[in-house]
Amino acid sequence: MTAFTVNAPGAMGSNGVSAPLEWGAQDYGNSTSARFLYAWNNHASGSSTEAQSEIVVPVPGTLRNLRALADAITPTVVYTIRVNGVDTTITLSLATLATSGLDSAHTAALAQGDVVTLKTVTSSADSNVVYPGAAVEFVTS
Amino acid sequence: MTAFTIDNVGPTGANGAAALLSWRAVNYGGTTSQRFLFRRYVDLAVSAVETPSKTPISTAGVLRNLLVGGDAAIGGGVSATYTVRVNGVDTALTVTLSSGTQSGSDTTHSVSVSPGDQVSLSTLTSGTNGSNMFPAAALEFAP
Repeated sequence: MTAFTVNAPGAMGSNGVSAPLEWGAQDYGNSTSARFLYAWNNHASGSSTEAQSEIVVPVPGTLRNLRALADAITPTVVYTIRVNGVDTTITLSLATLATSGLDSAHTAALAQGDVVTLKTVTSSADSNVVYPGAAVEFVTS
Repeated sequence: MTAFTIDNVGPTGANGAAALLSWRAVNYGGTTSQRFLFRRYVDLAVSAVETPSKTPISTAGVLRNLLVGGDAAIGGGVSATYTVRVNGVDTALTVTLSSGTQSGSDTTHSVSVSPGDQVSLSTLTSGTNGSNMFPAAALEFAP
């Protein structure tokens, strides 16, 4: 018997519903190559495997307001939202020692079944455990 | 039997207008110091660092209806207090599970948040408890 259960991922409900999609990792993966934060969260280094970052949207909608957070590191970090393996214009850069960032200017339209991932690229390899995280607002259409 | 489960993710809400924020860890860390549940879930004991607990808010709204608990009741005379924090500061949204209690809620308090605010979930136990009872918390975010 389950007395209290909230399973994943939740229903989207009616049009115009706003919900966060989130990613997280332990660190940026100690590389200047593309690394992917894990869908929702994970205590592991940023992954070279994009599939570990995938979140599938069950209904059409729009992505907007990408936000990133992490403890400070010296290299700069570019966060990019990708849809079906392709970079979108939703991107932000965390400057040296920055702990948060925002792209509120760009949006991306999604169709039912589209796959959303979060890519990071650092200006130099960094293995510090700074818990990079990101969230983007998904608004159903 | 699983009597209390909050898994990863997603928007919910009876009217489709609210979203679920959730946190979870494997255990309370066996310490009486402040600790943090991980945003969504990570297969580790609670974190001594707040950053992996933080989730950024994109739109203005209200946090309310905090539900907390674990897969088993906390025991041994130990109580656990869960507190929602915004930008690293405690809010009035809090629940204390007394020893022998498996779940609890705060449906009284609410907290307004703005875009860019960062929400986290702290735990504080009255005694050491390192049992793997998978403490979890979820709250409603109503934009």
